[in-house]
Amino acid sequence: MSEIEIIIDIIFLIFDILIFPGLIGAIFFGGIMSWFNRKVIARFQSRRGPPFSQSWSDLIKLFSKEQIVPVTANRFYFYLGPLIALTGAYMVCLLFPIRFLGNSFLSSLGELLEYGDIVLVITFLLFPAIGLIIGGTASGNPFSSVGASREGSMIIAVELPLALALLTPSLYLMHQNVLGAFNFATIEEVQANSAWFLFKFPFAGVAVLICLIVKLGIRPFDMVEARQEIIDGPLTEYSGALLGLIIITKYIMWFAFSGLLTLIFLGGGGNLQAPLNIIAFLIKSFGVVFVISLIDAISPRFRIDQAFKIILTSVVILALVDPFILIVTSNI
Amino acid sequence: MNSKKYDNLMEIPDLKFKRLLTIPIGPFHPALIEPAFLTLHCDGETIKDVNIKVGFSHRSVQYIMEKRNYNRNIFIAERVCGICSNHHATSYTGCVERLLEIESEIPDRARYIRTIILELERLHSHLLWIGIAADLIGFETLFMHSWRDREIIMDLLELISGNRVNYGMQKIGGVRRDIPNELIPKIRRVTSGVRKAIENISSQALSDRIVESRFKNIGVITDKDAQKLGVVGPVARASGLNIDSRKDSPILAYDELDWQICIQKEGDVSARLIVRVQELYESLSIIDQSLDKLHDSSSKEIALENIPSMGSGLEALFKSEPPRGELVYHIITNETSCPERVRIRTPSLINNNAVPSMLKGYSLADAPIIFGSVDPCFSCTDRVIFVKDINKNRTKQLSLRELARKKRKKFRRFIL
Repeated sequence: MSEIEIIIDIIFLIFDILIFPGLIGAIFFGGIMSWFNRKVIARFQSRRGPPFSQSWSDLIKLFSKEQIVPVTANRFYFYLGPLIALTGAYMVCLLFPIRFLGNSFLSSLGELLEYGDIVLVITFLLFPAIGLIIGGTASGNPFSSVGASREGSMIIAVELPLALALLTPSLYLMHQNVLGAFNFATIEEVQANSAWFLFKFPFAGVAVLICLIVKLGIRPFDMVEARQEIIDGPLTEYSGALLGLIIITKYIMWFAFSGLLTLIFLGGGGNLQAPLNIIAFLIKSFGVVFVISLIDAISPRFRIDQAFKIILTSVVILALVDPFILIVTSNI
Repeated sequence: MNSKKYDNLMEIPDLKFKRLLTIPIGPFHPALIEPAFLTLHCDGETIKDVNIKVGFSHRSVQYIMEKRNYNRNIFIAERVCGICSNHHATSYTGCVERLLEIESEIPDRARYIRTIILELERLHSHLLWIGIAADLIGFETLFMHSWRDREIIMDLLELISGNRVNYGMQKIGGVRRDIPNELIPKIRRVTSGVRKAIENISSQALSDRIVESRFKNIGVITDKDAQKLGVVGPVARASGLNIDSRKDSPILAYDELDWQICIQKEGDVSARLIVRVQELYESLSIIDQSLDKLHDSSSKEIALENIPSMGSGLEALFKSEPPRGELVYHIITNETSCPERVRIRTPSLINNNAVPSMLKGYSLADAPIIFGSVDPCFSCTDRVIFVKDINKNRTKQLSLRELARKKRKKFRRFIL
């Protein structure tokens, strides 16, 4: 391989990490998704909703404000929490095989991504919750600690159904002896050649949607930040740039979570050419955001014990249906 | 009220609660619209002990009323509460009319107009409560819809009286503005729209399964407890008590009209929701009947021309039923043109004190909706400030004027 090709690959890699699907693209499209969610809810509630620039106005305001750390807080962990949350959400986006400049990069990151994509994603999906728990418990506010304990019980509940449902397509691919069954690119390619996995595994798809709603903190599962009960949960003491970082994390989570569902169950970008596959991917992602917003608009909030019970019974059963059918029909 | 217990609220009340997490709700909190202070001592998410303190928006209304003449006091009474403003004005004027012994001479038209406005007020207050209750369990869409439809009633009140909040309709001996017969078809059109809106909202609230699971068996008061605590209004009726001042001591046109007291047996938040929804329909029917009677009434008179002068040493009690429960006005006269004493007992004062016994044993997540279920209203409740002398550990009662004087003295010393 010539030197020029290596340089081009490095440029591609930097583009991937920083522009799309990396940091800037994720924040940009995630911000639009967050605005879209607020707008859809507002229209359902006969309100006007925020203007298009609202996501960015929020960030500009927060980053220009004074940063206050409470006296009771543990400074180190107070700063560490949002950073861990941001890192986890960002890494999920980075693993997406949706790329502007084609898929050919040879760096160590590229080799890493060849194996175990979904397992890595399940790990990184934990990071935002862990960051909030660290930040919330470190801030020394009773509301924050209640919020953090709620977040803790939510991730305990939601990990099992999420992992079960997300790994159902991989289980199927492994059974079909497809190479790289855990890889996003393979899953996307298989769906492009046959049907979407949503039609093959509808129960798993719905289970993933519910789990992502829990992770995003959307009604009916928004008890972590229940405004009427515990002010803002783990975020109560955050202000200024740190709150801005958490808002950025939320934007990236919108992009990452809707993108995850799109990639694994809705066929991702298909086998289209470079700009077209991104457009297809984004349209599907916005569809997912619309469905989530619909659920957000029509439901009240569960109590924490109700939510725990529902996730560990109904959603786990929902997630188990498709693997069960797969095992029974294939006579393993 | 045992004031000593309510003074230092962050203080842990008992040794056995020492290890509990103390969560303050208020004085300013997203769940409360007006200032109040609840301290919840929680074990995990379960509430073990509750303290409640009110008195953050004291305005010494009763004192001001003793310094003004009977006509000017109507406007003070109207400003006691922002939501049941007309109930206060009507109760005050009714009480004064009882003192003047002209209660039976009030023109029919005035009585029907007063009834219509009271019931319109109940409609918008209950819709407001449904919105707040929905918001307290995170049901933002129902909150927005019920407040949107409440606007129709506010606009109707503006059409009738010219104002949206303090209507300024009452005067001693009648009302200030007539509802002309030409306006009645329009009011009927609006109320039939309101009926449709209420059907939509109540079906949203009563058919949602998550709402049901959040409201059922929460904040229960049995009928015996309700009697002991002396709760009033929809809270009492949801516990199976058959009390309603409109039936028990009928005022205005209520005894001429055909309507029912809405009662539920369960005593939980869900029962309070159902009682309020049923009362919405009863109010609509009362308004319809009053409009009929108003249309048929022959005389055009809306207020008495000649008001007799007030005697001294008289005393009268007047009860009415605002959306939150029984409201009592007690006035004593003297030889001047100002009342000797005005005592207002608002329903929230009683219902708020029942909240701690409702909250114990339930989850922290249910605290806002349980507190919200009594429809707390603090501005009209706050009467007296208790000031604790920390050095002498003694509590004494101060009026706002004394407090102001003390503060002024301190301020002067500081300046000079």
